[in-house]
Amino acid sequence: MMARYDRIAPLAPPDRDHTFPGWTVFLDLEDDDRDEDRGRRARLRFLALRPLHRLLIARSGRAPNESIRAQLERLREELGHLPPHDTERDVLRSFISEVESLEPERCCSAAFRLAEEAARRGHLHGAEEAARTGLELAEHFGLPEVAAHGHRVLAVVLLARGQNDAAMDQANAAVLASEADRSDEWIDAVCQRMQVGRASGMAAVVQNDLATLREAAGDDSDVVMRGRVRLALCDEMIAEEDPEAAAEIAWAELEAEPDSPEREALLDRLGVCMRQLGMFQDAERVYLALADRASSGEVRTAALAQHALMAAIRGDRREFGRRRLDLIAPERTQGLLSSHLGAQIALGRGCVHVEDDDCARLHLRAGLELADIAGDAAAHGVAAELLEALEARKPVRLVLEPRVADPGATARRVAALLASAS
Amino acid sequence: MPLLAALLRHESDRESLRKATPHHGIVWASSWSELNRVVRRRPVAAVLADLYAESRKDGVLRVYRLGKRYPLTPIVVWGSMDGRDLYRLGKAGASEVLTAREAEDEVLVAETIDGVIDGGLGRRLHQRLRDVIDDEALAFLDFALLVVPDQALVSDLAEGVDVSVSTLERRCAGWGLPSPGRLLLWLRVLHALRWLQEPGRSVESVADQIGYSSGAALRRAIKATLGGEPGPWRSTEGHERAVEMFLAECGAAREHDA
Repeated sequence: MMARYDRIAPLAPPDRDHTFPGWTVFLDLEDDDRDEDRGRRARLRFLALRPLHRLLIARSGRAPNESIRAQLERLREELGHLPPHDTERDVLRSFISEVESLEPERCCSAAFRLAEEAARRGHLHGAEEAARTGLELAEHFGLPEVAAHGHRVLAVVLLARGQNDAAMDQANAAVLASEADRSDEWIDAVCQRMQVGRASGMAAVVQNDLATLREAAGDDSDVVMRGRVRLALCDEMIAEEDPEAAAEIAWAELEAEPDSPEREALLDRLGVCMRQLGMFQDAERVYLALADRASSGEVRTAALAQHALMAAIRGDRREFGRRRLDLIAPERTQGLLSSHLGAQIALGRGCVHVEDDDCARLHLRAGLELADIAGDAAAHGVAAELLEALEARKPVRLVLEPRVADPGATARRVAALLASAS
Repeated sequence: MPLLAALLRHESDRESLRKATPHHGIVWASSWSELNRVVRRRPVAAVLADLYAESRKDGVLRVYRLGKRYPLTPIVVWGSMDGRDLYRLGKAGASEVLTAREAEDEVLVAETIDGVIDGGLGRRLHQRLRDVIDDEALAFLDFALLVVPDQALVSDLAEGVDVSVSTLERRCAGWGLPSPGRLLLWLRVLHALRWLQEPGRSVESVADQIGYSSGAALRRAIKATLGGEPGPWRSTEGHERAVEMFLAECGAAREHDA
């Protein structure tokens, strides 16, 4: 039977000011309004944002609290429409708890987390609506520092949609709203502005913000903040394709503050730098150091999986096999491997390197499933591409580690220091 | 009292609406066709419709068509709606929605309906006159705006504020408003012109709703108040100019007394 012509489909969608509050989340269905998963998620986001809109329109701060809480309880009952281990289900559960408090700051933050989750899934209209709602709430309740987070999230969304000018406006607003405090939010805002600047070809903005971060990185008066700034600077250097500079920054902080709260993140970046410089044995030392003092089983599993992958990349098939079997043994990682997306993909890649196709398929299929649960579109793409290459018997050039730069004196010095510290 | 038109197939929904809107009149319809007839006959403050009132009909398309005929009449869609339904409803022009579970919440239902009922004319007059006339006069004007669509007479206006007609006349003079009779004429004309902007309405039905004996009587009233043929006034711009003329008469009355 032919589908009936839908007279509604060709109609132009209304803009945000000319439709019922929260409707724009459904613009994520514009390309396919019969996508059930998207429709389900858009509906849940819409229902989630409705109590926040009620807070916005409540007269003289007299919101109907009991009715709003009942509305949230009904939303909680609807969470069963999402799969049991779905990350968005967890985000919504947390959202409900935060908004139930009716505390403005918690309500705003909940909206921003919902926006970030939607953005991660590529549902950019849902992300934008959640971010704008949170921002309106922050402005309504006079919370400029909270608004900084919202501006930053909105900048991410608008950049993803190619609206670079609007993204820069939001990024500027985020920096402005957070610079009085110079907190984590300020660091994130500056980094976000650099990202927008980079994407828009605004070199002057990027250089200016880099200079600001370098100045803050040299400030020893607050070592915790210094660690965060150096981590952010490291990420920026990696984004600028200068892994040597990034390695130097990461090592400087690790040396100055061996027990830095950012230790694991800095080691992770150092590992990335070494790989991008083609220094795989040094990368192995980094991952071993990360695994040895890991704060959680999850971090240890991730580090050991990368450690194994490095052996495969440098061509040591036997050592890769030994490390892989070690990881599979449940007592080594407390059985975490089966649910660890990053580790499954790393082992999958390693198996591809050593041409163990059957094991590669096992790990990559597990990775695909985990990526779907997590809504991680990027990881899904990596696993899918590798599986497709395997099935089509394509050359393995896809899995080679891209070398970004050749190691210079700085990188060799860091590597030597790392070796002596191991 | 503000009037609602409702197409709700379940008695539980009808009961929910009655409880949430004790100060509204409700005209019930049992089909989309009947809903259209109801709204054409009697201008209403809002329409509430169960999306799946008639299972073989595309409720979203009905909402769209209703909105095209009566663009100034808000439509609240009621019932079980999935993501695709909600997406289409936004494109179709629904003013708001109430999901099946939300409809159980009396507070939310009342809030949603109050939120869509367009106090556009009242809000505008209020905004423009708040620095010209005092709060007591503004309150009386709000009351008059509310009751004029229910075929109110001057005696009803006086009764509403608990005074005699002659006392009301003196008060209107003191407030800087036109006389009660003139005010009634103005508000009827402004309401009528607003409703006549909707393509689905006829002069006869609007006249009947306002309290005129016929469409011809309404046309005469428009001509007497605004001058010229009614035709040019039946547009957004025409309505705007009519409102300005009324506002000028309020301000002019005050200047005359002074």
